[in-house]
Amino acid sequence: MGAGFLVSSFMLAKVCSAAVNGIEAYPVEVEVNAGWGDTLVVLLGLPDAAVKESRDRVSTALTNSGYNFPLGRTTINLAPADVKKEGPSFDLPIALGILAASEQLDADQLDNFVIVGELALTGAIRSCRGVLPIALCARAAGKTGVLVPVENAAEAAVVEGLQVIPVPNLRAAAQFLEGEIKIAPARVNLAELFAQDQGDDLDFAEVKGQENVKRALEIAAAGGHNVLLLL
Amino acid sequence: MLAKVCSAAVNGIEAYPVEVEVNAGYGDTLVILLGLPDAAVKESRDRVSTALTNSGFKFPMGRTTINLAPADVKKEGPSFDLPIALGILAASEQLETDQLENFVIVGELALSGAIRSCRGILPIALNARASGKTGILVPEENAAEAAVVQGLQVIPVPNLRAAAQFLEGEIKIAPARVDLVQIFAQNHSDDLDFAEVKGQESVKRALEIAAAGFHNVLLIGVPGTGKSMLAKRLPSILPPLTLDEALETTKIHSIVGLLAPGQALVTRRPFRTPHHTASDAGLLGGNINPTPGEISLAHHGILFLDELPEFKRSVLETMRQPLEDGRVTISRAAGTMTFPAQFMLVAAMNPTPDGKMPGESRSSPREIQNYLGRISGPLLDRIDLHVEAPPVKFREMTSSGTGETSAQIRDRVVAARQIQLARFKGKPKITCNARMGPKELKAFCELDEPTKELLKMAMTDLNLSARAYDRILKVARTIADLVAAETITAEHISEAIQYRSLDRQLWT
Repeated sequence: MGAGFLVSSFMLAKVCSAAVNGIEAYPVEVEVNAGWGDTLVVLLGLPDAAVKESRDRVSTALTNSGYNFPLGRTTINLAPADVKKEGPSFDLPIALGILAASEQLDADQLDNFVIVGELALTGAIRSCRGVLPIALCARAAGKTGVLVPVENAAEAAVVEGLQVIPVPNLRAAAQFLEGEIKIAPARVNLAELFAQDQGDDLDFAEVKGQENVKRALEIAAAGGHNVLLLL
Repeated sequence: MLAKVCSAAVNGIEAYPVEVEVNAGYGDTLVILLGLPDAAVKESRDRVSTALTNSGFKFPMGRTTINLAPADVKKEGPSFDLPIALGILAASEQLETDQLENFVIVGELALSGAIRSCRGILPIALNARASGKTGILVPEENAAEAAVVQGLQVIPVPNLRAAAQFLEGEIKIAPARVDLVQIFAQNHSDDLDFAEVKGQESVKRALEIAAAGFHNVLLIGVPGTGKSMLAKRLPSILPPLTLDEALETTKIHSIVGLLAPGQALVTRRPFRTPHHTASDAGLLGGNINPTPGEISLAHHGILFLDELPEFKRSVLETMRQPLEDGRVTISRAAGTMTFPAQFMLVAAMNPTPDGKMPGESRSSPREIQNYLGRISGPLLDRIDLHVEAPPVKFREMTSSGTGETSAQIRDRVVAARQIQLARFKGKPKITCNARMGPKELKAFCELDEPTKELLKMAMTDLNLSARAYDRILKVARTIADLVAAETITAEHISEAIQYRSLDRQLWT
């Protein structure tokens, strides 16, 4: 073997994210390597148009959040390589990956969290789709928690036994991962959620007569039976 | 300055060797990738360069030319990452080894240099053995799948550096092994059992015959007679997969990526149930680059089409040729591929559009005729058994007695299959009665005079069509095999005649 020298490993960062296929989520690893060479961002892993646009959203959001976009050749790999990636939800993991790869973020927490979120140019984090299956997938993969957009926190918090961290913007996400600030995990009270639904506006008392139909519907509701009404 | 690494890719369900040639030359630093790479292969360039640096190697300066030969076949997927990386190392003299010739190498690289799993490993391993290689370097997750191939060293490599060190002889990696006996032993606990189905003894009998001779079946009955319930239990009475059959089915599942990580073989007969909105590409296979469809995924297993008349007629018609040939050939712009598709077709339908028996149906005879007419004659012709599932009687439904278990039925089926295997020895294309051609029919389905007379009478009296004749003979042969009878008797023939209800034009 040649006289290869070991390039120190700080140049490579790995962020866990996830995407949705059908109604199930599958893990996506976002690897970012900040290397030498002309300044260039290479995005790998069959990105679609929205994912390709990440590049520009991320670089602007980084600058506007007070970070530097690294000079040199930045390679971003969304693994697995042979599945097409869609949508803007990789913005936040890519941004955090770039920060970690360029040593602007010093965190050992990246492995423990699944991270999703679309970035605004200001660095604010926008809501994205499919957060519930992603949270379920994160729990199944044994992660400590998920970093999600504030708007999606309630949706993800339904999954028990997972820290759901609502992050308002890129800087807060980075600071949370570094341990500089604490963000209280979002919690939802499932009992309360279900209790809210009980106050229906519609009531059977409003229907006059039709006692036999009401009786039939009562039976159907009790057993989950299908019903055909011929009125 | 020039290095050659052996790799392979999958075309259809067979792998073909791909030579990865890397030349590290003079000039401006530039990487050129030749050999019709698709988007995922083109991305290799960047994954490899980063993985090399992160594994402590150098990416060579100068003009690096990478050729994936043969040059005229389109290359797909990320599995060339590892051979390209090793080729670059060898070409730039960072890797010194004489082992590159002996191993076929596949794997996707992470930027860190770790190796990720990829698809189609089983056919690639088979191809490596066929071309006389010593072994194969595969991702760790796919090692079990490749290890099924005997007489090949399957080396699971965790990352690029380990692969390079293994080839240089610096480290040893123990070849992966799997115990085939153990894998096959695992799967005999079926959840579904025929004993759970109340009544319907005649249908169970028909399914037993179908399983014994691998005949296609059409179940006809009003809703609630348990057609789907019975069909779903059919795999539990089929004989277990042989190793060769398991390998073929696994190959197909491997290239579609249906194997679970670490799964070595498909050991249960597949049971595929496409919905009746399926397109012809979904059923037969297709896509821009042809991939196997449901009929190929059901290879050596069962394709269950519930509500048969609801399928698009054009879709059903496309199945005719695969049913006859046991394989399907798909031609697209990207090329022509042949996938095996020896499946047992099990279809279910209502007797009339409104789901009633013809006598009680409110549909007009014309509507019923139209409904039945959605299944064309040529397709019906390829279905050996038409079975009517009668409504279950109240007494049967409420009885607590259990019927025969699947295991008991399977024992009889396996015995009948053994007889057939012995009969068709030396005819590799025919493995069961359902696949007999005219020549075999003549040789193995000889009838004595009285039996012939009975069949002749039945055909005229019941107005049976000519195409029913062959089917009756084949089914009668299987019925005889189930009782280990040498010759087909009148009893067998008369039972077989019962299974042609659609030919008898019972309802119209």
